[in-house]
Amino acid sequence: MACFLGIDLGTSGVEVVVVDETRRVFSKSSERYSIYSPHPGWAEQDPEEWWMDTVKAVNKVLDQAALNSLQIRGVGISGQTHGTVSLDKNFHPLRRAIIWMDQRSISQVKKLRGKFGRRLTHITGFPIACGFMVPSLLWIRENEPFIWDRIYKVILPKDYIQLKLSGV
Amino acid sequence: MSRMLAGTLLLDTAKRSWSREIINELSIPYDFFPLLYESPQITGRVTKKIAKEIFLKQGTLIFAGGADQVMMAIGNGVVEMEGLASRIGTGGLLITVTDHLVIKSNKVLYTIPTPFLKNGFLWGRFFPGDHL
Repeated sequence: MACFLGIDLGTSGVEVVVVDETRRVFSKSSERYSIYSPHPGWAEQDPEEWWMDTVKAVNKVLDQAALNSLQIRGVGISGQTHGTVSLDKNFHPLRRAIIWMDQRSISQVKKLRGKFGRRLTHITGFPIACGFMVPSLLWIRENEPFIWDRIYKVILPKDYIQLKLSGV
Repeated sequence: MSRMLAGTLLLDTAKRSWSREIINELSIPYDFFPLLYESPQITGRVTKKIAKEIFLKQGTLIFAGGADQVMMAIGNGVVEMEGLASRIGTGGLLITVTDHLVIKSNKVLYTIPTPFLKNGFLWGRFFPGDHL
């Protein structure tokens, strides 16, 4: 029977499920990872930990479900939003990800509000807040120019898992 | 390189594309940002190299997917206009479906095609707060 694998890269951990075509859940598994806070208000996670825990959870769930990998038709990925993963030319993370709950970018948020007013919300449909990609990126540009200069791509947390799985 | 979405504050949600206006005004290089896909689109396949590390066959399809709370709402069947989902995790969100753009400064909007609305939007309000 054709099955599908669902991966949810959450904030406190990764959860994986196997469902069949009728959406019956065959098996689930999860792994937890850390949030690093080297300074008050900062919240970071290590993309390599996301990946290693995802591999562990996927392998565990398929083992439990006693399915071989041939029966998994496709993989759908959901995840925590807004966070910033900065990658170099080889798609390696340049620093830990700045996740959605991070509060370091207060001054960047104030500048964005001053510069754009409501226009930014009108275009995006979102309020301006710390932890979203734009203020976090502006923070990196202002405070970690040595990282900024090496950025090749910026992606969201769950996209790092897609990148590792598919290489693109 | 692929993918998504609105919570970056860089997406022109009506046009479903990166906002050149915002990116240019902030003097951020446009090529920092990957290609965008709609949630149900296929973005790639499991590579040979990764198939040795994980119990997935080479070539297994990978779908774009999306934001956790929005995917949860769809998984719970919130795909039609009357549907409403409430999700309380590390963050909380009340979420419903619209067929047109709704922009409010205290709410969030995601562009998600649903089985019933090809160009649908899922519209939400973070907890704590008032109702939709």
